[in-house]
Amino acid sequence: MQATQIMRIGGNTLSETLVVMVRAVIGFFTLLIYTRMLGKQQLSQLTYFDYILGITIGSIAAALTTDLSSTAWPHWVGLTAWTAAGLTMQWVTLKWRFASKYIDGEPTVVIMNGKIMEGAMRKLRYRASDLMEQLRVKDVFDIGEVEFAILETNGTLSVLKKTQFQPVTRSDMSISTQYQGIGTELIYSGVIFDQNLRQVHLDRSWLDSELRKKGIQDSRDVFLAVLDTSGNLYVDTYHDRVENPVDTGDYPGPY
Amino acid sequence: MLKRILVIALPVGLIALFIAVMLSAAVLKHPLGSADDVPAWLSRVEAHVMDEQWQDALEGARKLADAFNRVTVRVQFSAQLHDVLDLRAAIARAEGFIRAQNRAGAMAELAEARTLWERIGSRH
Repeated sequence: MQATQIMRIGGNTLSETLVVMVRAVIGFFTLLIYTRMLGKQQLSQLTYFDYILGITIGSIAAALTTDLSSTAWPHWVGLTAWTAAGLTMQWVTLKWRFASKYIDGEPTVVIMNGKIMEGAMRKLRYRASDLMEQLRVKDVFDIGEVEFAILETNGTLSVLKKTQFQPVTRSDMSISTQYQGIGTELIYSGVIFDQNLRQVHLDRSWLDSELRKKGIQDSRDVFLAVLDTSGNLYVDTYHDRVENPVDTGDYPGPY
Repeated sequence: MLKRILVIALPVGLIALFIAVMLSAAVLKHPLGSADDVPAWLSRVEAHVMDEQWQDALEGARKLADAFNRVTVRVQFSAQLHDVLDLRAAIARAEGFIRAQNRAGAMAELAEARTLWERIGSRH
C-alpha cells in the first residue's frame, strides 16, 4: 500500500472539529460552574482585580477550547488554579479585615465638607477632570453643591449633597405615605404561577374575575400580570392595541 | 432534598467526567485486540527491518499505521494533536525508508514513533 493511502486512512480518524467541540463543552461548563462558585457579584461591583481575574479565567477557557497545540489538561488545571486563587482571596478578605483593606483597598474621601482633598486624589492618581466627570454622571453639575464625595473601591463615586441642595422628601413635608413593596408576578407568557398566587393569599377564580374585568377571557392571552402591594393588578396582553404607535426610527428600512 | 443533591452532584459529576475525558489517553491507548496493538506492531516492524525482510516490514508498517489510526479515534480528545500528527508522519517516513530498503533510516523513524507513542497520554 502507498504511503499516501496510509495517511488518507489516518485523516479520517482524527477530527479537529470534533476535538474542538468536545473541548468547547468542557471549557463552557467548567467556566459556568466556576463562575457560579466565585459568587454573584454584579459587574458594577467588581474591583479592578476581580475584573482582571474574570478576563484571565475567560482567556484560559478560550485557549482550552482552541489551542490544540497542547492537551486540554494544562489549560484546565490553570483555569482551576486561578479560580481556586480567586476563591481563596474571597475567603481571606471575608475572614480577615486587614487583608480585605489591603487587597481591595478602602473607600477614599475626595471631597470633605465641600473641600477637594488634593492629597488623597494624588495618591489615587485621580484627576480633577475624573472627579467632575463622575459628579456629572451623578447629575451634579455644580461642585459647590457637594458636601462629601467618596471614591469607592470599585471606582464609583458616592455623593452626598449639602442639605440645602437635597430634594424635599414627603417626610420633610409630613405627608403620609403608603407601604410600597415588591410586586408579585402572577402570569408570565400565559402561564399562571399558583405558588405566587398562594403567597398573596389569592386563587385562580379571583385572577380570572380580575382578567374578565379587563376584558381578557383567557389567561393564555396574557404576557405579564403583576400584583403590586397596593392591590393593583398590572396586565399586559400579547395583542397590544396601540392607536398611534411612536416610531423612534429615522430610516424606513428594510435593515 | 433530591434537588439539593442534584445541585451538588451535577457540577461535581460534570467536573469528574471532564477530568476523565482529559486524562483518558493514558488508559485508552492500551490495545483492545491485536489489530490496534501499536507497541506490538512497532516491535514486529523493527524486527523485520533488522532482518531486512522488506516485504514483511512494508506489510507491518501498513498494519502499524492502521493500528495507530484505530487508537487515534479513542485518544484524540486527550492527546496532543502534534504528537498524533508527528507519530503518523514518522510511520509514513518509516514506510518510505522500508520501500527504499534503507535499514538505518527506517529504524530511526520507528524509534521516533516509539518515543512519540510513549508521550501520548503521559503527563510530561
